[in-house]
Amino acid sequence: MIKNNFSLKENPDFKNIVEVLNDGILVFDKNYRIIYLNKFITDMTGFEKNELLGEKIFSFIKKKNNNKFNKSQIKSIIRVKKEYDFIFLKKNKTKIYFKTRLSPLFNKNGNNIGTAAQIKNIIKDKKDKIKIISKNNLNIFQTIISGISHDINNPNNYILLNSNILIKIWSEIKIILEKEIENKNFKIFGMKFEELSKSIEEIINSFAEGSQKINSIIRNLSDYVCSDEKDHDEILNINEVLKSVLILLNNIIKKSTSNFSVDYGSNIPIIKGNNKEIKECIIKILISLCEEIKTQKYSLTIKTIFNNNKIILLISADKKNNKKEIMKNFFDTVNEEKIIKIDTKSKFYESSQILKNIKGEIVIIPGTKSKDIYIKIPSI
Amino acid sequence: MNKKHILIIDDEESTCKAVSRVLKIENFDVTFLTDGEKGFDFIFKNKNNDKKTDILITDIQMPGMNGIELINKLDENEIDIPIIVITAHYEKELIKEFQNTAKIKFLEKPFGSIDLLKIIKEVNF
Repeated sequence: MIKNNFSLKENPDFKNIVEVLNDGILVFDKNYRIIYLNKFITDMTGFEKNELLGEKIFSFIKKKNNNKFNKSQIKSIIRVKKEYDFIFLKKNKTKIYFKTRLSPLFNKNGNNIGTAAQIKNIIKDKKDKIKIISKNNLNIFQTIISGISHDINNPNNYILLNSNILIKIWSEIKIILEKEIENKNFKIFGMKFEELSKSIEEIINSFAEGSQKINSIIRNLSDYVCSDEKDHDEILNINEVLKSVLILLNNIIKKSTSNFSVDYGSNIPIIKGNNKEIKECIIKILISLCEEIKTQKYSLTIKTIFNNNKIILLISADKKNNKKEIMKNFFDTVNEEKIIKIDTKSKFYESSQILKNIKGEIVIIPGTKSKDIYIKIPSI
Repeated sequence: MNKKHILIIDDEESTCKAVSRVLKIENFDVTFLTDGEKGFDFIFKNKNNDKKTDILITDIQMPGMNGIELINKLDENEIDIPIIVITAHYEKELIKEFQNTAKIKFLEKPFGSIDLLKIIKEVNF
């Protein structure tokens, strides 16, 4: 066994294995100077290897409460084999949360020669957990939605069928009444026969219309909840995706603005992606924008356009009710400083990551009395 | 000419009644049942008499014997009748296995009388 371990360490592949591990490995000497780090560390922190090698470890790490470590605290920590949460300061000055398992290293004489740290990114770990939880919830959600759809479909179905029959029956009754009753000046609920006849037709037709509307809501809801999350190559029409989203968010939008308009561009090429994920991006942006404009009198405009080989979905909130137009090469002329950068803290971060997978992006351009959010997706 | 006999099986009685009304107006002879098991017994018992089922309209989700089980049982017993399966939009995965069966047509809920009569025409030749 010992022999096997020894031969493994001497194997030139051993270093490569450590190098490509999915955990970070960082070793520092007894003077806390970093003497080894693997690729995971450079990928996560943004530093080059030579920028970290030889540097003191506590220049880069902070405690969970954001306070800096002092030498004696580091000393007491690294002597014990234990797990700690650290904040590592990335090259771009942002923070990354690491779970670190420290192992003190000793020479043959039993003297401490440094510490090896095995590092995991907590955020990624948490995100994975959240994903699993949401997936479980989604299954429950799918089951509930399917059940509700079934329960709504049944009464909706006989409302539709019965209204169809009623309209046929009424058309027969109308003929008989017109033939048989000479004096048509009688009134029911204050309405003359002609007026009454028109009202009855309208009432029955509204049953069928309402039923179709319920159907459309249920269909879009179950499509959204039950669609395949794994298929990232679905061929999609952005206008259809948007229509479906707007059916689901109809009430939220109505509550947020009395001035809403949508303009579906024509001849928009198709896109490739996951239907559910793209809908989710649009839903998140719209809900968030609706929350922002709720208390103020903003207009909300949505537009789809094909511009410069990109499909653009523009969601625009404007206090002055300005009509937004997108000129060709619009994005080349926008002042970069004006654009809000989407970082990990942004509520649109996840949406931007989803769009990144299909080479799309979100561009937010705030104005003094407006906010324009552009979703750009390449056509296929 | 004898009227065609249509059997409707749906656990929702109001749906059965609404479908029946549409079909009776169109001069079909209609029976409805709210249970798959009873439905199979009815078809089997009357397969050679004047109550013979010419077209079966069945829901998929039903307590006891569901629509798929009913279709399979009819198949096992070599009872060959045109079938219209009432489905919900989210059941598209479930119906995939029957998609290439010529005698089975699918009618998605909610449907109006025009959709119903159109599909009856398709299976009734």
